[in-house]
Amino acid sequence: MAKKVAGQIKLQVPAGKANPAPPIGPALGQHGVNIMEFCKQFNARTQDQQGLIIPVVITVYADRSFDFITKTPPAAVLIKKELGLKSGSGVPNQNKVGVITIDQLRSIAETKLPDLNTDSVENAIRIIAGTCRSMGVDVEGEV
Amino acid sequence: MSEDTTSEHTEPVWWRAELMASNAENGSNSLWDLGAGGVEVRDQETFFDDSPEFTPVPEGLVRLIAYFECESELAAHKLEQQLGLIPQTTIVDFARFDDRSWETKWHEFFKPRNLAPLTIVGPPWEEFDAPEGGRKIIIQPGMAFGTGTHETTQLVSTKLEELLGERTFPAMLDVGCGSGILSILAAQLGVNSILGLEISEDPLENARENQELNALVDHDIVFSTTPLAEVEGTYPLVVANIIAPILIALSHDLIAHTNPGGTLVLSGILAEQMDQIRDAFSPYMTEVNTHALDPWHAIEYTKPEQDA
Repeated sequence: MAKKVAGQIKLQVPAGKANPAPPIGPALGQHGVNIMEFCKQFNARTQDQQGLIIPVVITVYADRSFDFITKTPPAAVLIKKELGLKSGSGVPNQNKVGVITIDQLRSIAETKLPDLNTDSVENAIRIIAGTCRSMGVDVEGEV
Repeated sequence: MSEDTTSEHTEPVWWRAELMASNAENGSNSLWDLGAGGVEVRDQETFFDDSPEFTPVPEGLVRLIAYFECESELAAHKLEQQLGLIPQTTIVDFARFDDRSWETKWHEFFKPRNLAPLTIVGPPWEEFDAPEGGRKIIIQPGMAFGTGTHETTQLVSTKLEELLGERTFPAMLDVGCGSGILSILAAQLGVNSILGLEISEDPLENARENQELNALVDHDIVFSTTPLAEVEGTYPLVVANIIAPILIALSHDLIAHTNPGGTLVLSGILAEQMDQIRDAFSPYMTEVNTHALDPWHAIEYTKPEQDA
């Protein structure tokens, strides 16, 4: 028999670095989830993505056991990593923080494709280009 | 100005920011840029039964909750100003977060359960008996890993029951001992001398509390933060319930601290990580068997005698 679902929680956590501090502790502990068990499982599954932010969707059951799935890192995180940026621009229309090439865009689009509402890499490139512009990163050439 | 601007804190002071954002990705990205330790996202898919704080989020918006460590109220005030500048977001709430109820709330759901075929584990406030011919372990749940509800702990515990039922091991090294649960089980199964290692003192306080709860204060169990590489001697039985990348990083020292002819039990390995573990250990150790509780695996190795 399927277990009764008590709730669904979404977090963004640095890969391989989950710990019981906020937000994980309050978000899970408050609802009866064993915090350290989640941290161990999350860190085991994401150790090879160190340096990236990983969105995770946690399904909690009535007995407080849980499952989770990890998603691809946010596009902005991948863009910053690709360009070696510390942060995006606070005023993206005026202050530019970098330039991204089509090849770099394509690489990020292919990584993000499983979590985007499209099966087309070309559409995914356009979506990622939009994120670039919103953080003050110019796109080289036409997309 | 409150006293926390001048006094020193041993515990970090957290500030909780709650924002409504029309663009979740840009909003959360800005929170990370400002130093958030993590972000919770609440949208139309997130919920929790009977939890009033999961108030509905209007369509097209997301609620972003982030926590920041601030050294002073002045720093928090500056942070609040920066949060107010994040495009397409509105601050719903920004306040010092002193609530620690979450640290113990999950204890309500920690009930006695089987750790291994003949071992039951449970918290000190529950009445429960050892199974016939078996034993019970009391664990005070804390911020250390190892309440016995996790498959990786159950795998090693079952292995310890099996190994220590067949043979006598005078000493054991428990690497990544967490709550001390495996050391306590080994002591109950007859291991005389046990060294449990952790990388920080916090989990060891919990381990020592559990040692006391299980009436093992006079037993030769030492919980220590000594780095594995600095531990002297070798052990006939070594267990390491951690995660695969750390097991691999420690492989040299784990092998070096196992007696020739001794046993090494590794746990915390996902199915897809088994090949990497074998690459690191199998050239030097003999694989005896593996056990699995989906998706986790444990491996038992013995160290060849000729390496003495």
